[in-house]
Amino acid sequence: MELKPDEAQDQQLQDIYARWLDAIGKAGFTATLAALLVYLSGAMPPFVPLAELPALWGLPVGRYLAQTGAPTGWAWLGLLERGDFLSLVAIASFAAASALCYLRALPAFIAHRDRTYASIAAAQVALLLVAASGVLNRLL
Amino acid sequence: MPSADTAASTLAVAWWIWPAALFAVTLLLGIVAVIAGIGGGVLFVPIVAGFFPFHLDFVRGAGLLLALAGTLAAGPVLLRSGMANLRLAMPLALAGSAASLAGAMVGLAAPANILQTALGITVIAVALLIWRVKPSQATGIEESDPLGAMLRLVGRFDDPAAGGRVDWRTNHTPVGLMVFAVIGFLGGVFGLGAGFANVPALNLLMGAPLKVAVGSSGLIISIVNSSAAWVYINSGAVLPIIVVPSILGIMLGSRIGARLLRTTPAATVRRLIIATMLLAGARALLRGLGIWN
Repeated sequence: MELKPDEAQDQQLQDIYARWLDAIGKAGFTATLAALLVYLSGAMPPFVPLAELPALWGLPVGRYLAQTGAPTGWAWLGLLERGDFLSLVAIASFAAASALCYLRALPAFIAHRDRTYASIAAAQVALLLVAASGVLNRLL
Repeated sequence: MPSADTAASTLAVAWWIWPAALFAVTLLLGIVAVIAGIGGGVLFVPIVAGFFPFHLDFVRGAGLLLALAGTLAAGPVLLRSGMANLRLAMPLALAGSAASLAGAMVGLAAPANILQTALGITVIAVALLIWRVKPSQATGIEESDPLGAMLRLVGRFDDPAAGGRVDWRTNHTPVGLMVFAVIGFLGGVFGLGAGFANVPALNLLMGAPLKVAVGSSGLIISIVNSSAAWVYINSGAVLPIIVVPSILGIMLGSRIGARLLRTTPAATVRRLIIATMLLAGARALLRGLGIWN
């Protein structure tokens, strides 16, 4: 199928986005599976012992945090030697995927002088960074 | 919050029983969701919140990540084939993302009984929406609205079923942006995958062909749910022991469902799902009202 210049640019961007999404998704699934095996095997002891979870997972998150002393925000990065928080890193990679794909696509929009979509991509990245930063959670 | 009896019975069984049951249920959800053409994300929250011992806070966090992971797996193929369209998805996802952040914060701040009640009403409404709304196969939009023209919301894809190339364009872009903001807000509050609403909004309201609506909906979910998922992660409302078996179960189930698609009566499965959603919605509603704990 022969494409017009605009369509060719769009398809090129779609391909770039797809390539990054594919790579991040596959890495995320592999990491999630590996981290789960580490978590369940006890190779890296979890912060909250597995046997204690049934008494805790029915609590609202605020009471769960109070009873376990589990950290919020990015403080869990200091607990990566714990199996449960190692799994959380793998899970967080899914939430990071869109921002990384947008960051890769943004220079291409700028190179194509597509100001509208470059602005939309920049605004989306900013929004995801605000969400990831935990700033909004301080308002809760 | 579980009652003392529920907590006692929960403690009485080995810890691994519930994650194993979760894997089995999400495997089944993955199978039937593909056959019925309904996103697994919308089934997960009402069913798991209604029939598992996990608090709604953790179920909603898992629901967002489950829907997100599912769309990450399918997204690359849909983008390459042109069924998912980045230009169409980006503005709508931006509106949805901003609203989903607000929704996630409202969801985490609201009392559990109010959330359960609202979830019950929403899930019953979604079941009725899935039951009543029939998608349109038409691709007959002749002219874009001014905003759609500015954003160049047009495209084409090869559709072997239609016998060739399909050119499409959308309209009603300003209303579409508002609708996606509302959908994003509800998704953030309840942790639901929003394919049930995205597809009709893209197809019936904005006039995108059904295949582009389904493909682009997945892409939009992957972006919108990322925003809300961070709020849940930063709040400590994501438990790997709930999220990981769910993701693995629904991914495996989706693959099995895709294989069974040709031989299973989709209409029967669809009716079964609608009935299950009505039951799960009624359960959430009655739980929220303190009638069935």
